[in-house]
Amino acid sequence: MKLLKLSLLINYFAIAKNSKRAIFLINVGLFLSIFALSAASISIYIENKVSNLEFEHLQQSRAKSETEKYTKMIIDYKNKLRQYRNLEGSFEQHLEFLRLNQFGKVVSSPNDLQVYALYDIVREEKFMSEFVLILDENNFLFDSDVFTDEEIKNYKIITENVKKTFILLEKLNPIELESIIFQRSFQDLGEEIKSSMRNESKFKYLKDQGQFEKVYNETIYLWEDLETLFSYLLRYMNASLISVDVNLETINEEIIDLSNKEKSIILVAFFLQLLVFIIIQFFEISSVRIALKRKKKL
Amino acid sequence: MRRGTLNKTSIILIFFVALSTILSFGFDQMVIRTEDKIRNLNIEYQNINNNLSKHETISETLDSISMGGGLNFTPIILRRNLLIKSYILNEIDRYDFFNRKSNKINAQDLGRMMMKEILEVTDMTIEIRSQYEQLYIINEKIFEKVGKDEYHSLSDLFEADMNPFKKDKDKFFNKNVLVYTKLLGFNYHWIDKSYSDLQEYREKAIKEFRLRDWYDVYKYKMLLFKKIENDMKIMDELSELFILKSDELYKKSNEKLSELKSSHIKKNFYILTSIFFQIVSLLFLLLLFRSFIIKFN
Repeated sequence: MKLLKLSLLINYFAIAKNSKRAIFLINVGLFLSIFALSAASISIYIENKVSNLEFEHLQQSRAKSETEKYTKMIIDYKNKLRQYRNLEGSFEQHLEFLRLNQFGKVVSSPNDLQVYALYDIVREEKFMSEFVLILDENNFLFDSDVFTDEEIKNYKIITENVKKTFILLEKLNPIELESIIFQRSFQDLGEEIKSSMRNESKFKYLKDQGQFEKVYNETIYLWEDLETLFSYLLRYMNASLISVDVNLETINEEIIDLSNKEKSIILVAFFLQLLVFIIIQFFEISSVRIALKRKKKL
Repeated sequence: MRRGTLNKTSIILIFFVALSTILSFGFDQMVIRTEDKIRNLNIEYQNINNNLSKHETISETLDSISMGGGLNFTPIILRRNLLIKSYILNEIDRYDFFNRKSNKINAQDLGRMMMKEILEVTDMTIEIRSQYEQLYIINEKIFEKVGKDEYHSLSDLFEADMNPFKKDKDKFFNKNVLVYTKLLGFNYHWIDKSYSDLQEYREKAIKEFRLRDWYDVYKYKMLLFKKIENDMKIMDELSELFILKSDELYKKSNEKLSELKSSHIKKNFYILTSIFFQIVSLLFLLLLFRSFIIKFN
């Protein structure tokens, strides 16, 4: 059984009124499909832009989380540095307090105060060389507008000081320091006691005595300098975070803006195409009418 | 239509309908294939991220153990020589430095302090060992993978040695180092004894140890420090290795993310292009119908 009789359809369209109606409906279909085409083209174009922005958003978000991680790391290092400074400061105070009497003077020596502090830095030889390399290679502070000229000048001075101290520390022999700390023989301890007894410089602080006096005092400034450098880094990181936040907000706004634009462009395209369709329909209907009139006259 | 009603325009229109339909179908297939690729990439990306987060956590934990250990050990290592020097002075005692006039009592007090100090060091080592061990047990495979080329064994870091310093015996006055190890009170040496036995042993040591013994205790403490320091160094280096591995994984993760994002963009493009060609096909179909109707008239 045939579901559709094609001859019936042909007969249906053979009637002028029916075919006019069908052409009108097809024209509406054509109009809608052209509109759909233009809407799809606009969407392809805008969506491509939005996708790129979303990608940028993702990268910025990752950069933000990385910066936050480094910020946390710098705070941790700063705190660690401060704790070590406090520990060494307290110990120095404790020794100086002991040295107020003869007993304290005899049991304490410059090595007791200075050597471990020096060894603690010198054993991190790799860290020192890497740090100097970072200071040399990354003059990022100068490019940002976070710091005043005075701060940048101060940063340069501190950097130079840190480098000088590291060079001084690199000259120390870690094995010798290690031996003074861990390999003290009974005789060594006895010698140290004797030396402290003989020591007539009782008016000098312990930090200003001994073979490592100069370099030890330099490291006291080194801690301060490192703390200042970390403060600068922290400020730089925070400024970077603010800048990333601003970027993310801008990208968000751009995405919203593009979405709104997409809607508006599609709407405008719809009305323009509707106008074109009406005009075409008007001329087509007019031409059909003229043709019908001619047919009637004939 | 059945007999020679197709003209050139109709054939061109049919050709375009067919072409657009094929293109639409082709892009549909591309969407399906890209979706498959995205699924696989997502799994890979998640795996890399999980791995990355694991490596970062391990590195942070190792740093935290090292930092905590360093802060705990520093005060003891700074005052490392004070008690032994005081003991030596007490033995010489030519200067009346000490308030109590009995050298024996002074020596016992100083001995008690020295014993307390070495026990503090042992306790801290046990604490670090326990923290490290937990981390190691949970992540044994990753530890071995990351450190296998650099270290022979990572499982025994900070582990208490029940028969220690075999190679350094010549540095001790008393070559039987076990006498001092027993002071630390490990179960290994006191398994069949009570806590009061241990206390008794320690009290006996405080009373009977002489300068040479206390120097040995001091030496023992310093060798313990050295061992801890070596293990700390290994732990720090291990943390560095984990950071390097994390950096590598981070790069991989970024690459995967770019690939994923580009696949998403491609997928969106294929979807829209497929829709576009569906509409084009519809448009040519409508034009074809239109041409037929106009022809009938």
